[in-house]
Amino acid sequence: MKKTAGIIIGVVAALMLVSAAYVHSMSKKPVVKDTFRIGMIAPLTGDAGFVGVGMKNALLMAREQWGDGKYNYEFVFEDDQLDPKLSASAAQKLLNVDKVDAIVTVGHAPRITVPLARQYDIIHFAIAVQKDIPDGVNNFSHWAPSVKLNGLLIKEMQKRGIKKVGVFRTTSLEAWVAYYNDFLEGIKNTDIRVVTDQTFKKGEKDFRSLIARAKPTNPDIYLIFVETPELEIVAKQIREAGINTPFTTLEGFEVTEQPELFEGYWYVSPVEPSEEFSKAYEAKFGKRPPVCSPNAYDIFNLLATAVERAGSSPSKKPATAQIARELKKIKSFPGALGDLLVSDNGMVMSGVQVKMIKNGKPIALEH
Amino acid sequence: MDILTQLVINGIIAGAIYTLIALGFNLIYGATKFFNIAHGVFAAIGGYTVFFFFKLSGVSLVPSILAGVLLAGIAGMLSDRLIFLPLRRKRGSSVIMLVASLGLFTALQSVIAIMFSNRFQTLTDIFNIQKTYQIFSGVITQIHIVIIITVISLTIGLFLMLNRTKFGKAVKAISDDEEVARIIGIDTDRVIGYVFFIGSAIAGLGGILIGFDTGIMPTMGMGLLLKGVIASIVGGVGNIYGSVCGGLLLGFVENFGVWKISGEWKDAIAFGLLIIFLLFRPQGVLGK
Repeated sequence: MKKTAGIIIGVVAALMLVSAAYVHSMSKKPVVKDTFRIGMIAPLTGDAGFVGVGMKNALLMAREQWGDGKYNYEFVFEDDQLDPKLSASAAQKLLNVDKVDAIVTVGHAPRITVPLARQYDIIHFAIAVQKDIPDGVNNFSHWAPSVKLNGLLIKEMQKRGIKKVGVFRTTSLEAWVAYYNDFLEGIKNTDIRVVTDQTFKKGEKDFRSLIARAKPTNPDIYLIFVETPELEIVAKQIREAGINTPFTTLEGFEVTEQPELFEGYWYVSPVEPSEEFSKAYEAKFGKRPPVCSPNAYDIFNLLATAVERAGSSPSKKPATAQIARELKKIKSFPGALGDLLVSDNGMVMSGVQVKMIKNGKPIALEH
Repeated sequence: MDILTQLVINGIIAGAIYTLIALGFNLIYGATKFFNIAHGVFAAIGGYTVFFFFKLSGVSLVPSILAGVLLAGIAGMLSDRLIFLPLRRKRGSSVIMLVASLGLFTALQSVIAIMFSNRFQTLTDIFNIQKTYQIFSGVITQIHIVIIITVISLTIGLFLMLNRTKFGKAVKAISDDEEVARIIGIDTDRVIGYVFFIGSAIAGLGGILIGFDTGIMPTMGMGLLLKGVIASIVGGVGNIYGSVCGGLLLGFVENFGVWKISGEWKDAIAFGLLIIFLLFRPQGVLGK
């Protein structure tokens, strides 16, 4: 009897010892964090290279400030030089080779990435104006809506008594077409009218005959919808043709490296980034944050917040649907572009303002 | 400003720019009988040399322009010595030469992009508004007057060179029949080398002037070359005077075209003109 009891006690003690050792070993084993990979498709070289470089810097800065979270965050940066062919191959590489969980895009890349995000079931965050890009399921966007930008543009035109608008615009980039269509829609019930609409392809350098056509219409203001360097070339050639009519645009004067050409002219663009963001960016990279960089910064913070909230275990990152759900729950978020709200259709709402180039720098006139 | 006067001025300006490219292209085509695609990149070499010396290094304007023209010419002559001459000696067909020139174009364009980035650059400080002059009811800028005077001077210079000098007569002899020219004692390889130098230097000068007008970028060569080739074919391929005629015709058609239709159709108008000429007058306005 004593012998049997001794055996039982021995076995129990041995089992307890083994269990204790196992628990001890488990408690010492480090938790392996899952990695959430974010791809970025933007121009990193070429005329618009400063946009992509600014986005890349902002993403890296946001991750650094995020610190040690539930998951690791990795980036893969792809340069598309604002060329849709390169955007398409970059998207395929990010999805099939790098196996990213989310993609951040700008330029031509958003339109290309929208269906791929659905097909591969990933999160796609576009810095894009087109209202049909976000769907709140896979696709989200973070840019001031075109209707909002145009609304303020039209309001400012009315305030300044502008009635006749001359337009110079490219049809090569979808965003400018979207802006123009919303502008036309917005002026329908006003006394503002487009007296001349000159369209051209990206890469055009000789606008003189288009200017000769536009000049007799004598507009109160020229609305220029094109990115750099055509923006500066059009403006320069208009002045060389002896026309002193002022210029305006949406967002465009922000991107120019020759603000002297637009000195004293007002325009409408998304709100200036917060001072905190601007100072941190300038301290780290030695220059003012370029256009789209605050958006990229906000996108990382929104994404990381949603991922961390959706994830139950550090060893397994959450599914896309869970992240999307958490993103749409965000109704007030302190971002670089103010207090952000994610709408149910996946659009991040931020403000717009009237700005003016003064002493070569953009200054806010009105929120 | 009367729109018609301005369109005429714009047509002359555009025509002069196309002529600058077509002149060198036709000169080289006349001597070698192949479409030298690389011709476009020599315009970029000229522009970027001035950008490097004048804007980046602070060298004064005239030496910078001379360096740009010379470097473009030397690059053109070297392309002949290192690539086209060996191919000619191996009796390479014009298709092989064309493919080789395309390869050279791509390689040199990439080198420029690596050295100076793909960004659009200006040769002057920012986009300086140029001084303008009134001609009747139209406006013309200082640089456009320089471009037009340059084209007139170059055309007269080439005319005199081809008709009044021994070298020019050798070029014309090679243009007629390289084999016979060699038999009668002309050092055809050396003359073609010089033709490459002159043609590429003219392209380089074109790139510099365009750089002062609008700006430069590594890919500028292809667009210029296409318009230069259209001007050559329309005027008469291989014909120096055809370059002027074709360039001006192309400039006028493009500028008067966008008077009535959208500016997006500018390139379509140019290529439409090319197709019409290829179909109905393939020898061009002046023929060979």
